[in-house]
Amino acid sequence: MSTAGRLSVDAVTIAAANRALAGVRVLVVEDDRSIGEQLVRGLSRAGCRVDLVESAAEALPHTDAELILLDLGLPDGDGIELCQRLRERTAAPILVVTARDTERERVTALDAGADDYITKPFGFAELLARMRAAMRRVRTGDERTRIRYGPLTVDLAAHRVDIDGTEVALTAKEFDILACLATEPGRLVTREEIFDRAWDMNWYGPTKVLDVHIAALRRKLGDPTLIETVYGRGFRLRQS
Amino acid sequence: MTKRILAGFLGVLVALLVLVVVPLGVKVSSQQRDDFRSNAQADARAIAASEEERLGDAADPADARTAVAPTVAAGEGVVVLGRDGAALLHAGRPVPDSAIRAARAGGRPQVHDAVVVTARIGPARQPDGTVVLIRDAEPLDRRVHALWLALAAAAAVTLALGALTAAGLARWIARPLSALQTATTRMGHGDVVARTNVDSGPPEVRAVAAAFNDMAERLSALLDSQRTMTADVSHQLRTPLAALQLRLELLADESADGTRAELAGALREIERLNRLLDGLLAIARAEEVVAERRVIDVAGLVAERVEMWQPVARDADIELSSALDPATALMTPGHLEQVLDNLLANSIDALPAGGHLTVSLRHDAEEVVVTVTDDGPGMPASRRANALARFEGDGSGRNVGLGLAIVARLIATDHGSVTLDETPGGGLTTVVRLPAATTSTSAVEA
Repeated sequence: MSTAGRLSVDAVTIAAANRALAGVRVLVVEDDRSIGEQLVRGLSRAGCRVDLVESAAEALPHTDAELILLDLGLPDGDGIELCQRLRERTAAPILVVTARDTERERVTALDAGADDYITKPFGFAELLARMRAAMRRVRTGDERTRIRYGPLTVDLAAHRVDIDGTEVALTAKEFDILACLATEPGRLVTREEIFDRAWDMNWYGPTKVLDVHIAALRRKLGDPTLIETVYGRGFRLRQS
Repeated sequence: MTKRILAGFLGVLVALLVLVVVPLGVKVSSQQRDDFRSNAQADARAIAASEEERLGDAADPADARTAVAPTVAAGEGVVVLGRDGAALLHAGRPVPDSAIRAARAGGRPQVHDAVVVTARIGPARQPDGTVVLIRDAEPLDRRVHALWLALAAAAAVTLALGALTAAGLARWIARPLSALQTATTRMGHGDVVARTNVDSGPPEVRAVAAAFNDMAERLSALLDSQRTMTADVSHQLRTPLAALQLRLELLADESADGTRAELAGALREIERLNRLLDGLLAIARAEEVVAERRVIDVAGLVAERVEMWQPVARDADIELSSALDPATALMTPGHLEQVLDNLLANSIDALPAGGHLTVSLRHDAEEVVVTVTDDGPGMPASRRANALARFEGDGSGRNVGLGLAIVARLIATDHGSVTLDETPGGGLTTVVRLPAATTSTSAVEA
């Protein structure tokens, strides 16, 4: 698959595409200084006010953050535990950074109070999209378990998809893929991003298998144009 | 081996029995015969003695009236011959003429089913006559018969005991050895947790079993550390990769279009590296996770997979078909799907428009064979040989090519095998052999 990495050409520049994140106070908990620095640079450019800390001990006092970016692999302790303790202190969305690891680890993180997760390595396009989605949920007070988009309704909690009010029976994999696309309708989601989220790390295979599931998904949704192929890069929900 | 030990042991035993029992039987039975004859001889002599008294008194020794018929037992017969050889008297069972003639001649008369003995009457130099006694040999035959029967019974019991002992011995030696062999075979198939029992069998075999377990332990520890190493490295590399990606993206964000295109290329390389790490991790996991094998409906699964790939094949103008026998195999759930996805995707990638791709399934009692055949460009023999073991890129940079290596590992952990062949007329044929779900395979598992 020849993809253009996660360098999103759609988002003209990091700054321009992220008015939604302007002024947001972000706490980055990352022990790897190199990544931390890049995140501070990138997020600042997106208009965020960024605090960088490198350990759990430093992270806990930062209760004023509006969004927390938490790397689970910290030197001084369990990232999951830190996630729980942060959740006790603040209602700000917590975005967990994991290596593309087992499903169990992601579930544990979500159960520990994380709002979403992103897998390493990741690009700014995906990171900012996830941050925007998280902030949108906070601002609208919407739990966002139901995403409505044109004729499509995706209920993330109930794992249910409706088209014009009629339920469509999807497999778990098809649902995960659709949920991935529906989180931010209209945004190009790369093949890798879909793989990171819909497939366990124990799976390794040709990315063409994604086309197989997309084909099935299109057939089941009844409207083949609802999911658009961006050739060689990924997929997105048709812009309405 | 059990058979050999049994055969050897029984062979020696039979030889021993033949060498000991047969001469013993012959010896004892001839003794019996001698005893019988000498008894008869003694009786004949006693008769002769009593006849002598009477014949000695008579003026004419030939006078038959002086002879007194001796008492005879059942099956016995006595003939008293005078000095001239004429029969003076006869009692009991008739004596054949041939025997009487032999007695007259002073020989040893022979009769088929009886013992005939003679005794002279009177002085040895000038006998007054001869007593011929015939005695039915049936009691003797019965005794000899019983003797042989007893010997045969003893031999049979000895043989049976010997066979039991030999079988026990053979099992004692062979069972731990065959357990060892099973463990070795399993280890050969990549099942590094295979161990053998060290608590049975002769000490030498136990020592071998213990040595095997020891070796297996070290081997699996080595493999473990290699796997952990692979997993760790893949894992650890993600962080610098992430940093690199972010850095390049930021740089691209600040750059003019020409540089951006260059950086996009660099990001693609990161993507490839990342895929490679995924593959390495997947290989490490495939071997590490010893999941429970279950009976998998291979035919159903293949049909489902072929059905799923149908739209992609159609888009590429490839005819995808299947010929399936119902079959079940013992596999780790999830493996076959991954294997089929890799194989089908590889073929669809390789095939030009108008190509044919067929998945067939057949089975016997031992194994289930899934064959994926395409009529694409195929693979040169040299590449076929390595494709299952190595990192094989297809040169386009699109595939890092761990797919077939993963397929091979997944199948190996399920005790199956994968081979790549040339399709007659060109193309690639992948043959996946899986252990059939039979009672014997589940017994091996248990």
